[in-house]
Amino acid sequence: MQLTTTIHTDELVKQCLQGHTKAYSELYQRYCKAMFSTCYRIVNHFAEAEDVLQDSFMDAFNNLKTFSYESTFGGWLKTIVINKSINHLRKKKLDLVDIDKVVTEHLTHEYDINEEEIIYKIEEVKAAIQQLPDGYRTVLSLYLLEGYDHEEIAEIMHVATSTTRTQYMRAKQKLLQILAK
Amino acid sequence: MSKQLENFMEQHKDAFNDYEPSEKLWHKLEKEIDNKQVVTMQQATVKKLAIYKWVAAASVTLLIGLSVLYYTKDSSVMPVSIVKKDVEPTYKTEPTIKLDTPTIITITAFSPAKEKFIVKKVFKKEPEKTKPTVKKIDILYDEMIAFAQTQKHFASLIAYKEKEIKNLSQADTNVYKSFAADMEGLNKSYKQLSTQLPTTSNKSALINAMIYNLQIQINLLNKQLIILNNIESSQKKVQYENNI
Repeated sequence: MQLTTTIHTDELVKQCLQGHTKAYSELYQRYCKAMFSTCYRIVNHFAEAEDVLQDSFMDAFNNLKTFSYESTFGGWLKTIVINKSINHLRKKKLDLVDIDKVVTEHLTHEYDINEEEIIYKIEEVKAAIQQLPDGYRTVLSLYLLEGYDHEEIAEIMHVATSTTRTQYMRAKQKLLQILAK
Repeated sequence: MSKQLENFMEQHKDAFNDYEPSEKLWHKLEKEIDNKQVVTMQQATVKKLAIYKWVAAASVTLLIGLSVLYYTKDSSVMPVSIVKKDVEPTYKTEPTIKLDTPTIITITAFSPAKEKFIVKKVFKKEPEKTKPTVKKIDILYDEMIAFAQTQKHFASLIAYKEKEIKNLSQADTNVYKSFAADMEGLNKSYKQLSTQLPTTSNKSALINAMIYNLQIQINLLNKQLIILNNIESSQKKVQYENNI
């Protein structure tokens, strides 16, 4: 099943290259939800996330020729979306590394939250993630939901691996704090 | 630190990926794609037009050039008789390359090392039948050029083969004599055909007959070469055995 959908996606890419407009629509419908979720989690603003998503799809469609079929189309598109989303945050002058300076102070004394006591509910976790500062939210989403490891996150965000590790730990602490309230 | 959060997220990944963009986003994208495609299509048509212009210019020039050549060189096309079947020469050896009348054969190269002809067959359907709308004059002119080239090839090949045979057959005059008689017969009928060429109306049939004749000549020469080579090698063998 997985295999057939993969073949089909590659076929769609080929059709796009041949100029079939319907194939573009099909690709968009197939990936818009997952890509928008990824984008929205990082950008944290609905309209802005839509702009970033539109830009990402347009970029992908314009560069279909460079897509090598070595990776999956979804993976390739996701890299574009994540890069665009992070760049969008950067443009808003929210330096990702600066954020941990601000938050560190009030984190230390609430360090010992008992994770066992928290009952996780999807909607609550979602809302809590949205409350996180940009840097934390990005690292946390990439690590927990996009399946990136710390090396990959460090590369995308142009920081050291140790930085993303500590940022992730702090992001998690912050999230637990919010959920415990 | 506990991994509870990680496990929870891992289990409910899909539930976290349910954000959806609004409907209008696709319409925006669609417009952008359409604009892009219109632009590229316009570029493509502009390019195509440019190519058409050149092709048109080139074909006009070619047409003028060909007609000038035709009227200056070959101004006398006379009506006349169709080539008779019995004009075709009789030959003792069956040709290995069988020819249908509408076939034009061009010998593109000859490799003396391998003693083989590299023969390129160009199948042409009878022009009069398939393209009744094309002017006969043009077909004939094209065919004449093709024929001239073919003839040149054959002539040089025949000369080469004959030389080789003369070298080989010095020892065996009897074999050479019988072969030479056949060759002469073929030559005669070829000359006969070529004298008819300026006067006949059915030029393509005559040309085919001439090419056919040349091919038989080549075949004959080839067979002769094989025979002579066999004789020589058997002689050598005898000599070698005698020496032992």
